[in-house]
Amino acid sequence: MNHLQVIVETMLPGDPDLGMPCASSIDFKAHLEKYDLIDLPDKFLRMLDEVCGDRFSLSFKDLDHEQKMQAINACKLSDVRVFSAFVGHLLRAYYTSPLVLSRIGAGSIPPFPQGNSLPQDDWSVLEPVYERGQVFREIPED
Amino acid sequence: MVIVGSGASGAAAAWRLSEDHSLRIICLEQGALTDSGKYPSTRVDWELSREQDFSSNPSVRCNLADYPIDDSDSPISIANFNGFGGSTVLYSAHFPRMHPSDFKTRSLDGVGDDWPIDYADLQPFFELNESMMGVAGLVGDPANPEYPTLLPPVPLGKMGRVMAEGFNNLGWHWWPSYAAINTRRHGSRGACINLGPCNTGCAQGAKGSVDQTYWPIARRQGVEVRTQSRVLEVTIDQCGLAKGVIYADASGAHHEIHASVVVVACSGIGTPRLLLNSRSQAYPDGLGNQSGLVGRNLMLHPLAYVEGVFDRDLESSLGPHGACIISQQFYETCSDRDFVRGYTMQVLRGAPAFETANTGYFMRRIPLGPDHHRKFRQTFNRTAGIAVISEDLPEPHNRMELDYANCDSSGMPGIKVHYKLSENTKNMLKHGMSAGKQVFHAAGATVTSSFAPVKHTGWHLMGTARMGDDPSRSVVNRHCQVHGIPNLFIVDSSVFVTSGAVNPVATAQAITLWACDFILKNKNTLLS
Repeated sequence: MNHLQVIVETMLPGDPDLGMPCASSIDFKAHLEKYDLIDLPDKFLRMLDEVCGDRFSLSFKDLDHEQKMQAINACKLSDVRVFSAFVGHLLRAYYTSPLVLSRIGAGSIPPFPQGNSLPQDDWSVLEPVYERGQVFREIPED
Repeated sequence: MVIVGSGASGAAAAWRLSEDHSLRIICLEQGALTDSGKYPSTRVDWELSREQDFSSNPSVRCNLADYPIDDSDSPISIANFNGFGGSTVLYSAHFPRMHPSDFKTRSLDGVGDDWPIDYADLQPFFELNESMMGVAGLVGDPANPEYPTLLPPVPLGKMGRVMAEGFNNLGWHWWPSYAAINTRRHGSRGACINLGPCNTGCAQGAKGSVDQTYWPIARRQGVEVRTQSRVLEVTIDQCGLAKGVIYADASGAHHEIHASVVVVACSGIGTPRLLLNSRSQAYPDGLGNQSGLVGRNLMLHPLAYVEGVFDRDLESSLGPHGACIISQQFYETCSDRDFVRGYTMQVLRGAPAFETANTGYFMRRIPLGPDHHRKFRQTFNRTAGIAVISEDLPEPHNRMELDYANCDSSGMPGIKVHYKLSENTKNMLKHGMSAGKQVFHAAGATVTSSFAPVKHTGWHLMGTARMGDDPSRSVVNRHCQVHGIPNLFIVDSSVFVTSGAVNPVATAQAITLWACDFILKNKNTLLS
């Protein structure tokens, strides 16, 4: 597993109980290429290395899990723009992955052409509204 | 005849006028055709299109058809879509009518102005328009005069049912949304299949965007549409009548079309932009601007937003996003409140997956790391929103003007917006947020956020070429004729005298049909 995969898996690990895959199982690089953001991981990795060095005098891979999360979160203070862009695009890639969407109840993937069905309504629930009567203002004739 | 703009009102005008086969009608549209087969809901990453080419923010889209809008002096940003079908391509199709009281705010409440026409004048045109657009809802609503017929309502879904119980627990009005959405086959269009993101275009064609409703018929009836044709100026003859238009095509070449009647339908900012840019010796301040009111009295319907989260999965992200429940409990003026007029509450379905995760992370509700998925699951499909659409009163200082420093791709000036919230609006939004919170509490949800005004919600553009009998206090007369230029008509929401507190498209199109009725009845005079 490469450095980037370790980082994204720390940020979005899998959750077997909920059936959720980890972020390293989606094609984050393809997403970044599609949006012409191939430099973004390098910028984030450089920042993360600096933060790890400053805070722990260790490289990211040598940190324990708690320290890894601390280092990642500390990047926000280091350069909020790079941090937000990286996190935002990781979430974009993850939550537009068919594998992920199929596990969370997002309906048809993509929505068209299958669409989604919603339950039939019982309009007797409107009875109290009917019973209270008119609520708009009548306008007197000129 | 020339129609400028192919959106909600331009399309309705094209259809109605082309029912008279003796007329030659050309519609000029600055945007391009869209291809519904390529709308975002056909792709798994549809959500991301809202940040790109299907954004409602022209400054994000940056299409050639978009023009610069400087709204830095406004708490509300302008939202629109410049393409064939106009903003109906991206709207949520929430389609309520204005109320009878909305046309008489001066007489009833001492604010705004009375319209020279009233609800009864427009009623047949509301009905005609609804039959053309395909409007779902339920008859018998105690908050509105009777509708003769509607398509079956858009399904509430599990979330909608729970919200309905919340309104019932409070004893407040609610009703299934009026929506220009085919809930069964209507005309040549299929039924809604609950794709969800109506506001990125409807790939199914069930949403009543005018490229799907009015335009196919209008084109069959002979209307010629020229897309990527930006009208730069309405020209005037030596008698001061409209002579035609000058437009730039996609290559930038300029053309002039002569017309007996010019119908302008470019939206509440596009229309005044064109009028102000049409300067001549006879009209040095722009066409129809003898009163100085072109571009003024801009109304935007400031919006408040309240979000709640339920403790169980209600599949709330499924279903047409903007069409679920409407409440008009606080629509009409009540002397107990610290504001006049009122607002509509529009229940919105839950956010889709990426938006849930992204907002949740940056609002510190859904962390990164091992707890991410559990927290995400406690939010996704469990949220709902309430949009509070407040009645915006006309105030001359709220305005748009030409921005000569920022021009579009044809060299036409962009616009600058100057807009401030009134105290009445601020009080109304505060009340609306409180009411929204009460609904969520009564429905068993926890409120997670509430704020106003919401920045990127300036869809409803009204009032900038207002209607009136007095030429010194209005731009067009009751028939939408520009004062002093009887063959120039403005038929979009620019002519609104007041804004009501509902999405304006149903009323704007009814006014268009009303104006076209006058044009057809008087065509011999107008065409001579």
